[in-house]
Amino acid sequence: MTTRDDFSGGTVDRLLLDAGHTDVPELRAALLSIASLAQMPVPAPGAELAAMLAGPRDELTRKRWLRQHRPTVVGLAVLAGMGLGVTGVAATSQVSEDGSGLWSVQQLTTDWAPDWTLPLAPAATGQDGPAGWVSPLFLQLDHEGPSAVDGPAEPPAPPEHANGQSAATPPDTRVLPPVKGPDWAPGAASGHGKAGQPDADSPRAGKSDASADEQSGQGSLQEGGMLSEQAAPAPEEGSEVRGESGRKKEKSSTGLLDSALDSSLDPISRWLGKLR
Amino acid sequence: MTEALTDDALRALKGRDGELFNLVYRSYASQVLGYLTARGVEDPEATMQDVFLAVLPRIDTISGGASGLRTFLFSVAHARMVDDHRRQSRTPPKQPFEPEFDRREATSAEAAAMLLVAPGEVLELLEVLGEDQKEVLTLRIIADLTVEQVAEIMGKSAGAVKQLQRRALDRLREHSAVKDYVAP
Repeated sequence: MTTRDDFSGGTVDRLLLDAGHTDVPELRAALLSIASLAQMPVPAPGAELAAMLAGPRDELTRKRWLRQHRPTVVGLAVLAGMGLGVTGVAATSQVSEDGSGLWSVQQLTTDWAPDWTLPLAPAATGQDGPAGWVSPLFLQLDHEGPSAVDGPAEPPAPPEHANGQSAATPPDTRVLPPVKGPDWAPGAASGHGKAGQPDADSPRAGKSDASADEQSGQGSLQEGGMLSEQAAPAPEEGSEVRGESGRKKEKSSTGLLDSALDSSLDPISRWLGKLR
Repeated sequence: MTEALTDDALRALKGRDGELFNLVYRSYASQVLGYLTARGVEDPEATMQDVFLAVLPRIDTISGGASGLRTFLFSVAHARMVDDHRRQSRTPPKQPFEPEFDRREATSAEAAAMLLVAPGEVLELLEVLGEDQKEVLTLRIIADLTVEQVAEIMGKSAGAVKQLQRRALDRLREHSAVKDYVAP
């Protein structure tokens, strides 16, 4: 076994040989005394060093492992949390097959419905009789049949009707007289309250008041015929559209989840980058 | 007695950190302590432990076997020494009361014996050298590094280190000759 004495002695001799001072014993003694510092008694290791020497396996390696795998650990934790959230959402917001989504979504669609169902009203009443009174409320359409029932719950279909009608027919033909029957008043009030169309439709309602007198029965009948033809395929379209909308809802929900996942992972990855 | 750390021993203990750390500490603690003492670090023992606390956790990342480890170890020790010197130059000099340096008493036989092994005399010897000369000599002799390793640690060329080493030896030779002449 080589010892420090051999090393330092050899080093000193080599040094002296390099410098050409091989014949100076005092210098060699001085260098050897310097070299003797390499054999100073070592004090007992301090607490921290002693802990490291004793066994870094328990504490130090664990810390090191955690530091090396911190991104993975944090990422897994985040993904697990995301997964829990997604499953929770999936478990609670079970979209039923008949197209009815979340309660809030249903309420939203029904709230929006009167605006779209307004055009259908003259058609239904026109068929019933020449009586000019028509209710602007979709609730009245309940007497007519499934199309009227479905009317409120088909938000995507009406835009086509609305656009087509607005383009093809003058707006005043579709406008409806105000509610005449006192028994409809509460329904009307509630319908308007639910409808959430306070200001946008009020001018139209005023117009309807003004133009209702001008409107004749035949005009309304013709319109009714047109509208009834249009209204006939409406339920199927509505159901199709509803199916699509349901799918869209699912798609949009997954898209939302993806985007939420990305947006929530972005700051985390940035944070992890800072940590490295 | 200090064991010499070999490449084989390093390789054999790879993965067993506890034993490896112990071997490295046993192999180099004395040299690091001697180097720091020779360079006039204020608290060489604490600084030595700091050096090992800094080096041991990074031992897996060191390449070059035992030689690379030695170079890295004394690079850290050198940096700590430079830091300590800077700190000492900034702070006003302290004058702690050291009973063993209180010369007003007659030294006992025990104290005289202790002085022989104590580094005081050697430090006095090194005082005649310039800073760079001191650094080269301590790294060469105490840390047992090659000229190239010393050059790497000090950030100088090998030629400059050899020059410093030669001048340091010349200086020491003059001093030891005078001392020998004066000494009874």
